[in-house]
Amino acid sequence: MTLFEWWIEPFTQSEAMRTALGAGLLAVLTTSIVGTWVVLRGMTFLGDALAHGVLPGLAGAFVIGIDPRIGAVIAALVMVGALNLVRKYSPLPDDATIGVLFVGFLAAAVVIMSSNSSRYVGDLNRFMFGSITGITTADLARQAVVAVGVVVVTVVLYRALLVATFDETLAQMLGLHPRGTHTVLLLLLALAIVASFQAVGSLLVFAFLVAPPAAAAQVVRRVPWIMATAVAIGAVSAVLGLLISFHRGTAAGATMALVAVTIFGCSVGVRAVQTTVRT
Amino acid sequence: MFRTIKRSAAAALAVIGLGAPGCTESEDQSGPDVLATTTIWADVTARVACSGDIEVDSVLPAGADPHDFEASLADRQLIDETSLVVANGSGLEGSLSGALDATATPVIRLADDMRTIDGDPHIWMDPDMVSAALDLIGEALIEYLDLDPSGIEGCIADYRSELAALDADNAAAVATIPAERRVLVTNHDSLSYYADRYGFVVVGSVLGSHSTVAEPSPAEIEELADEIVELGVPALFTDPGESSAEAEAVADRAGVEAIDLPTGALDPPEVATYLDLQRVTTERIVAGLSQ
Repeated sequence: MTLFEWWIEPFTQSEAMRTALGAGLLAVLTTSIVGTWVVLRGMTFLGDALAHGVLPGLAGAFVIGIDPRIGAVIAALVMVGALNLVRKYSPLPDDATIGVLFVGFLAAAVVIMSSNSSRYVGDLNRFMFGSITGITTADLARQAVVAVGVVVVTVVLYRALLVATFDETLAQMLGLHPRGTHTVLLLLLALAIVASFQAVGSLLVFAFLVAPPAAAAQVVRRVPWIMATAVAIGAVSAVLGLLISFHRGTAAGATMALVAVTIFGCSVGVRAVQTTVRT
Repeated sequence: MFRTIKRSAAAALAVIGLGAPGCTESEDQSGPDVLATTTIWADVTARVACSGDIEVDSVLPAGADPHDFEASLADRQLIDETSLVVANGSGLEGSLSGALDATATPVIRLADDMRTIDGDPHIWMDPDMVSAALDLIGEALIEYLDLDPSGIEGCIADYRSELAALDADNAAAVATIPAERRVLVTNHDSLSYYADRYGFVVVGSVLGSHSTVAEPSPAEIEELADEIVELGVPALFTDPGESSAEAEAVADRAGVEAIDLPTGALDPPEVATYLDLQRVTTERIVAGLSQ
């Protein structure tokens, strides 16, 4: 098999591969940009909690028979709201609150599903692990809308997000509303997760949210560069993951996530070598 | 079975060849003519198509649980390139259903055209329903693969008589179980159709739903164990690949045996065909409940 046959031909031959590529790249664009802020602000645990926090919404949507995405958005909003509420009235550190909410939401999802004994729930798996093998053009359009929204909000709020990330007091003094900025970021995060889980699944979307920006932050410093590098790393992960899934028959979403995490591992290695050489 | 051996060999090669793109792939890239989602329907479809020179394969490998199967883009490619997909339907295909919805290949979903019990997808556990499905498969083969209708009719007639014999054998074997013992306690609802056909009562599945994702409460386990003791049933039945920890807990508590049934997929060499699957299932149920 030639290089051309391995790398290019699957995309020229298969409509499904092109659609999957589009869905993968849109998911990468959205999650890498939001994920950069998540990583820089030390909110990864919250990102993880939110990615799993959509599950009771999905389960609930299946029980009452509405669009699962709507259920997921509602669940994510409830989690963000609950987090802000606890933060307002309790001196607990954030990670404790997030941990409690995380486990509570996960438990709620299982309880909702166990109460629904008469209906077959196989479809839920599709959202937990993604279904990039069955993306439709309507899915692509939805993802594109969210991706554009995320890019626009990030550009408009860039200064507020940047200052609030590195110096909250300064942001307050400059009148940049760090609390409001934080809430907007949480909403973006929820949106990015819901828009991307069709492609990679709500359990694996977290890999795309964190691994590419974390890897990028090892090798470049300025925020726009981290974003660009993260998108590039994510894109490589998506393409390579899809190709491996195509040629070797592995589960598509999980393969992409694994490639992204492997690249993160390599970036740590590069960093370690750099540090050793310098000292 | 040849196609299964070929499939495992391909999987083994894939594992060995991983990381070294550029070898092991054969030049013959033409996929199967008809693709069934499960090994069971692949076997049945191959029997319906016995007259034509066509290759039938399954998306799921032998022994795989359709509920947790993860589709790859290679599977999607196979689906796109084949002429017909025979799917079970009624939600059995799990994550594969996305690919089946999106592909341009014609897909027939057998359970969707039949009277199901509460949407339960495990229709193949009733040989009579499989017999009814033969016509659906035959019509699709004639329409999409241009197979000769009289040949298909012959295949269906042959297979249907085998299914009728199987059905009669099952019924005769079940008749040897004392009537009060015809109770199936199982960790999965896959036996509803079988029970319906042969006059078993299904007692509260250890799992509350058709899926493996939901889990039972401790009170439910306790209650079920008490019920088993009260009924005096000597065995309960589990699906390999399902979470059997709860089933074993119940079996332990009630002091009965937990017996594996191969209801979800073919598993050669013992369960190489659908007829084997039914025979082994009946054998084990009869043996378990007669002790």
